[in-house]
Amino acid sequence: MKGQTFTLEAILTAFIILVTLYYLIISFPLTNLQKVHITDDVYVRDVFNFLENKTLKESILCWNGKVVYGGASADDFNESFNCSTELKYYLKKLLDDKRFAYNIYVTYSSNGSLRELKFVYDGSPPPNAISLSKIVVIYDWDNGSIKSIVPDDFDSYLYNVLYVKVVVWRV
Amino acid sequence: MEGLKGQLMLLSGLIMLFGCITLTMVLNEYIQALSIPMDISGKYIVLDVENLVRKSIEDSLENVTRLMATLNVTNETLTDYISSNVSQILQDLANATETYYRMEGRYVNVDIDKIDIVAYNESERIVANANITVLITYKDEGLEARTVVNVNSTSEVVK
Repeated sequence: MKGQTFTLEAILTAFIILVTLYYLIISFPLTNLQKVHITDDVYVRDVFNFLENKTLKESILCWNGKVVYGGASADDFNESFNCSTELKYYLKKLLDDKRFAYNIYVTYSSNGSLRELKFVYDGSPPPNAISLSKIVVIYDWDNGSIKSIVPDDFDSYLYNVLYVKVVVWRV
Repeated sequence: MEGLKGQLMLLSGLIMLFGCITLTMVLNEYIQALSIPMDISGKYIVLDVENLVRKSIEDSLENVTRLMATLNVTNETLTDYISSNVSQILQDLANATETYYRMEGRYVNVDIDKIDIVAYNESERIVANANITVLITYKDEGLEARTVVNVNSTSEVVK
């Protein structure tokens, strides 16, 4: 009886240890935890100021809703777009090649409520990640496959306003 | 007596199991909360909103004027038509911008102060001139910034 109790206790202990290990593994992102240098902030902001002016809106307009897993280095990057876009080229050259990882989320309004979509997903960001946001405006006269995902939420010639949130970190 | 002892040990084991799982879940939540990325937008939001407003005024004036060229709008109603459409677009954009930043815990106010639009219809073209002033206010926990944006834009569309 005593032996059985000890065995049961050992099984319970092993279970507790496994559950604890599992939670610890999923809690800590396995990336470089060095502090992001201040110049990274400036650099990342500059990159997205540059992309915002033309490329970002063009790419989002012809995005078909399929999440781009793995960033610009992903082989199937172009399968998420219904047009040729320079976004892959710029993201790869300006971020991937400089050892940055990034997630991009797109939020839109639908009948007064806000919905978030994953646009580019590179994994769970570490605590030292930085984020910034951009607003992309879609008008009735703009064309693109995004209109089949995002509804016309305004009575005016404004079609929808997208809140693009970017999370960037060093790898 | 021996059976009771075993049952007590089993119960203790189960209580410890639940305690450990709860503690790990609480720790996990805490670690996830620490992982929220640091937002570097800060005062640059004012510049972003300023650029957004400028670009939006130019885009909407140009495209609304272009739409007017395809419709039979008389010279008398042309200015009102362009003015009301551009105003509505800017107001909707201002509301959406405020909502999005509020979602992030920031206060952004976009106040369309003045819209002066003059448009005229000629036989071969439509010309519209807009003089628009927008006041932008930004506030977060440690920063308050204001700016006045004045945009003077002309759009000319050949019919």
